[in-house]
Amino acid sequence: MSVIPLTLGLSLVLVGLFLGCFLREQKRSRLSSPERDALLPLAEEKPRVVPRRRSGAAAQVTSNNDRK
Amino acid sequence: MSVSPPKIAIEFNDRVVRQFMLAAIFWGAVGMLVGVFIAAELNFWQLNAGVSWLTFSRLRPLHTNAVIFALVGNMMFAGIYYSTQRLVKARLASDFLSALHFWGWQLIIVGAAVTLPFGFTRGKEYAELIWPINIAVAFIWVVFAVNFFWTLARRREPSLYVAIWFYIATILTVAMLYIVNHLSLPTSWTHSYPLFGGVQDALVQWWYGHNAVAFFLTTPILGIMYYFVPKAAERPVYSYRLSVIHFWSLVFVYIWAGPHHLLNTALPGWLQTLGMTFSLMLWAPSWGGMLNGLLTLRGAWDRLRTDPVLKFFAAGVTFYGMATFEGPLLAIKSVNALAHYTDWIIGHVHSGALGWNGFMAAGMFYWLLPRLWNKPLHSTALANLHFWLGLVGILFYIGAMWASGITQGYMLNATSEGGTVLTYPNFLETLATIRPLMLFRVLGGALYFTGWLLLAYNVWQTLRGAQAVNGSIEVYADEAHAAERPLGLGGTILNPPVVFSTLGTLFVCAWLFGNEFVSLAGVLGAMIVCVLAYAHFQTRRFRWSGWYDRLLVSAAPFAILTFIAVAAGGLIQIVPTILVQQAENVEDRIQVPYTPLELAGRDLYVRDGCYLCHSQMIRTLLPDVLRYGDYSRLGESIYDHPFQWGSKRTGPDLAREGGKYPNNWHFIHLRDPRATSAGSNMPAFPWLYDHATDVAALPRKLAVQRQLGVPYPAWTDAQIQANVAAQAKAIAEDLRTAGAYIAPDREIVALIAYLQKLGKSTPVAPKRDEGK
Repeated sequence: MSVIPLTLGLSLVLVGLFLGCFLREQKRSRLSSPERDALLPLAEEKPRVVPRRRSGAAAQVTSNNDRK
Repeated sequence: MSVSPPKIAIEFNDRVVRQFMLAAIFWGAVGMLVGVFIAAELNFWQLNAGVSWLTFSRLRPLHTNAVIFALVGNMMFAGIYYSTQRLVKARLASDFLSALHFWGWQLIIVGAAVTLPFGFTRGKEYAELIWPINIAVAFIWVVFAVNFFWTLARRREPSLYVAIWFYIATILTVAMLYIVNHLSLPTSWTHSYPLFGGVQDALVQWWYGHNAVAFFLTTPILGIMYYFVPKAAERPVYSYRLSVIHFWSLVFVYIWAGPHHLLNTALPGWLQTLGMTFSLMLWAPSWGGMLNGLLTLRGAWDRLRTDPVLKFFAAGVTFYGMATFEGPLLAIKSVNALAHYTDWIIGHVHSGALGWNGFMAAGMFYWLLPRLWNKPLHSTALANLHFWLGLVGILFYIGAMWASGITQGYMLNATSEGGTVLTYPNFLETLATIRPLMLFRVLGGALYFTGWLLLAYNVWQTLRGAQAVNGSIEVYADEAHAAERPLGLGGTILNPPVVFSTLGTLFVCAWLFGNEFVSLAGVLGAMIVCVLAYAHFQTRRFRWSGWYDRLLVSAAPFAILTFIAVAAGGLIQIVPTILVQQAENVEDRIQVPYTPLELAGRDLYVRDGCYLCHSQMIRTLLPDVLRYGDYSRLGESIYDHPFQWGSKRTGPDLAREGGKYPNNWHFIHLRDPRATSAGSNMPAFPWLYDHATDVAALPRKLAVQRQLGVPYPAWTDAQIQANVAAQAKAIAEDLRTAGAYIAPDREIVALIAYLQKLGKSTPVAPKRDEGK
């Protein structure tokens, strides 16, 4: 069996598959969008101090608020 | 008048993140210290002080397991748990599972640290741990998977960010790889033989080994890169669309690359070419990821001057790019003919391990530290110093290994007089040449280790007086947990992309493996499927995009499809190899099974890690054949469970060692290598002369070997004992006539029996394959 047509063929199938996925991405209507998804890591949060003993809810920190 | 929906607060479980982070730093220091020590042992063999558990070949598996599973493993879990909670807007599903995951993983590491130096090993690289610990690893991995996927099921963010895709691929693929390569039959609580032998074991081992690199050392860290680099740079990833291509192409192509560890060996040629070609193709998706990571720093390059986190991330991603260019280069057969078995491979591994894994870990830790403990980093200057020490250390390390590997490769392959004689017939001559470079490797590693100690010190000083904090967010109480219109099983399978991909793959398999008519049908079918898929996409593209939108928010179907994408490569490579390894396909020689004493000796060879410095695979290359004898046939190792082809020649190949030297030569060599081989850096193995061979274990071992297909007769225990005693007595008497006195029951006698068997085979008339 000749492996060059095999590997070329498989590579082309792969390329076509991922090209198709990429082109489809361009125009889809989505629940979200790449621009929105790309911003997910940048969401803000509030740090809460962990109590040293189990004595009620964790206290909000008064400094370093709205940490990214 | 409208009423705002109520908000609820979600507090993340960052305790487990803190635990994994500190564990990673600790075990990283242990693993690196062992690494520096064993590197020094290659220049100063005396460092083992005559003690078995300090010997290079016992400690090297401890180093690799510590840095892979303890350092990168703990770091990966810290990064995955921190980022996943925030990306899906949900606390980890189970505090209990999180704690079980953490403590279970540390227990496994302690188990490894206790067993490996004492010779309890499976003898397969990065898969050395004995079978009870394998089961523990599988169990804890399932705990991790349940905790992770359960968290995804409870998420309040419907869209799965790209980092989550990488984590899903990691969890599924590592499970598949680990289970397959660790399939074994136990002979005792601390010993087992792998299900696969010979060429099958070689392929499964490196399918696992390279994909351990791919799915343990690369994909989870890429996910971490996609989260932490944007966080640190305070800007989104360069191209989210590029990350889509990057992910799918990487997870599919990576799986096929395993055979590039077995180029020019007895592995069937089509497999070697497949591995080489896919390794070359892998360059593209890898650099896609690298560019995506680096270009995320657009507009933030000035901060590299002062921010150690960005320094580590930028350098880490750059080393990733370097290593993923060097890898495909090394996977080219002609380049590999020079590089295989030399230090160049070690240099390549460590540019990735120290540059990519180590630096990404350091960057992530320096970023997390002030946020998890609400206290500024103790010293930014020390963190910057860590960076520079580490960078210089890496450059010394890989520069030394490149020079050493290429020098030794050229010397070992050099021929004269028209290619009929070796220019450097004495292996030790090449070792003497590269010794100074090996010392630079120790220096480079020591600098890198020093930098890591600075990290540990910085962390310790920061934690003093600090208070742990958990992140928290507020979400609307009525936000939907999971996706609207989730995909069911039918939706997962019966959709255009999956149907066309499956049909196309089936037709290509028919093309590959069918006879003339089926093969032709396969070619035509594959072409027709491609055309139909393109036409369908052009006319109904909304169905393709609509389906993919739903896939992105359906974790289970996404996981299933990812698993299929990664499993395909393994199945197509491994299944034919298993089916093909019948007696008639062993070329023209078949291995003679070991006698019981020789089997005992072989298990000592594995216990003491001889395979880490000595290969048993003469490649189909002229210099190999001139130096070691006729090239190794597939059938000559068919009964070796585990296979002993080896991956490094710190010492010469032993495939045809049997009969080359008298018994007394081996007796002297293992007690004092320099007495027979001047200038050798091999340590002495004095314990082989003091301990008795474990003959009592042989009946059980032989029974398991029979189960695995090795054609042993059903000897009784008494017959085995008699067989062992007779052969041992003969060897001991031969040693006595040469002036060496040893009791026949000593381990050295068994090891000599094994070494003298190497290369012995029976000729087989090759079966003509008619009709193909």
